[in-house]
Amino acid sequence: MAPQTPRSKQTEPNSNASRSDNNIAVSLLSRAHSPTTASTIFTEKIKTRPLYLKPSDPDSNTANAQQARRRSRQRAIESRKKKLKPQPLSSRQKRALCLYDIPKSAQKYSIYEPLHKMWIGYIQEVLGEKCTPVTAATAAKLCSADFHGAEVEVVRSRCVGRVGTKGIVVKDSKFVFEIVTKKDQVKVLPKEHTMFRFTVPPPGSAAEEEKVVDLVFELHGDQFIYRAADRANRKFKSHFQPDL
Amino acid sequence: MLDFPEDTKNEPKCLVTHGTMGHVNPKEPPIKRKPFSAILSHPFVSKVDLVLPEEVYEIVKNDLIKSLEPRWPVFSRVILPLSVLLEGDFFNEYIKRGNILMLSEGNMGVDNVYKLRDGILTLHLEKEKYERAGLVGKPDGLKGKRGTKPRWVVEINLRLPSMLHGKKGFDRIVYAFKNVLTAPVTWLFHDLATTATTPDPLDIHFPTKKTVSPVVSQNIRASIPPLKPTADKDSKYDADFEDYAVELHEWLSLILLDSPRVKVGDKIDPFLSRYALPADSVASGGLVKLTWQGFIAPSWAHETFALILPHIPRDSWFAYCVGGFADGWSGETRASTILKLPDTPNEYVLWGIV
Repeated sequence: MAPQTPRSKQTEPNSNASRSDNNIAVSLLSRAHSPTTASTIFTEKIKTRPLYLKPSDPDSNTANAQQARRRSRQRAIESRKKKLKPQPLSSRQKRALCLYDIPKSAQKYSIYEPLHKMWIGYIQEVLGEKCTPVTAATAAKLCSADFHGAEVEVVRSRCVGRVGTKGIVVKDSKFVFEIVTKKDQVKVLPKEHTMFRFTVPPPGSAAEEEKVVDLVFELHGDQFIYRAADRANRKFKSHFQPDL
Repeated sequence: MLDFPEDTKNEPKCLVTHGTMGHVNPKEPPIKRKPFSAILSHPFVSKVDLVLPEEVYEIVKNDLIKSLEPRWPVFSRVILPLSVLLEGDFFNEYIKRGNILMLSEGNMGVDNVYKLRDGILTLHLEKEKYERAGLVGKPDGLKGKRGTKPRWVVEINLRLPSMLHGKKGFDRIVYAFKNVLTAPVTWLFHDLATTATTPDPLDIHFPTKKTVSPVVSQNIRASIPPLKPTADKDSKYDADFEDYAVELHEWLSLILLDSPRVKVGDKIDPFLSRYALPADSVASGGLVKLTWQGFIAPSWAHETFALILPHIPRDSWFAYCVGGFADGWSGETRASTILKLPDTPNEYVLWGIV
């Protein structure tokens, strides 16, 4: 804050008319007003007001040179430290480098079929031995399960052109599933306004081949817009969906 | 606050035409000229009425019935799922090669209604079925205020060369009919082909065949107002013609309804009905009404009109009404009424409700 410097001149009003005349404000006012008006304006509006002045710079050359040197040294050390630890790439850089894209050679359904088999084993484990009446507890487990390797089919979508697309999930990001279809194509399926269906054969079905019915689940994509890692510990609540 | 309709833009309108028919060849009736085009513009016809003065009916009865009788329209009622339409003989014989009309049960705007006409299958679907079926369509009904549950209409031209089993777009339709739109529905079926195909691909679905023969109601003693429009010398018709058109259409509709209000000597308390006949000078006369009701092709109604026309004496009048099936949840229908005016050889008035 600027220091207050009250007017040094004119400390005592009406004491000396000649001294008040010396004041530059009075001389300026007297040019425009009659002497009585000028003096009233001076006493009422100008005399008691403080005048703010800019503080003068501290003498940096002599007293604070040491501090300045120290500061610059610290800054240099910090920047060196930053350079030693590489910064993570920004999303834009990642996209430009095609880091998460699946190369053409890996877009093969046959590559992901073993993954799908592993996923079936995993999800059977999650569901447990007696899975037939699907309880709320199993549903909660399913919600926090991993869906990489699941074979999903779009059964309902606001974008009707997507309905019927079927494939193995190769990437489960916050807003989209990326799947590989039987025709070796990678398709990106937004979760918004879309319902997915996946089937799980009951455990031990490989041995006895008769009278086994696959468990069919329908997944509301609208309620599933979370990253897989966030979902693991998430408690799912049912939200009202007006456009269902 | 009050639920008055905001505008009449989307409400049915009645368009009235007064004109002359010109020369009509009954073998080849005109299709682009009014009033013939009005009949053909109906997608399906549910009811055809013919109103004649009694004395005219006595004259033309034998000839008319004889010429019309071999042509009574035939239709069948059959229960089918949609997938049958795309299978084997039915698809090849009826849709690709032949020409059939089909209409499924249900209220338009409420239920899922399917129509087939000229090889174009139209599906009126509610939101969930539409989103599950995966067939691209357009929003149905009024653009604004469709709310969160809009309805959709899907149009598929099954006669396109790309509509073959194994093609990509066709497989989507098969997928939808196999997985989503699976419920069997009652259809009305009409084959437009003149020669029946043998064996009939429909027979395996056990159709109920029906022949539409007319219901003749005779001895309608009705008060008949003057049917001719007031002779205005103005080039433009003014309000007089509008009054004439509105009042006469009301009178004709009451005749079709068998209303006692237009019968001779009808006395009703004005508290119950405030209907008054269009003119003070009413003549009383006998009327005959022939009604065909069923699932009728518009082409049949069109040809029948052209057949009736030369049979009727040139200076007498008759009215021919064609009504369609309900188009909306409130039951509004398309209808056209043609009145051939008396004492003039070719003049007509056409009311078209669109």
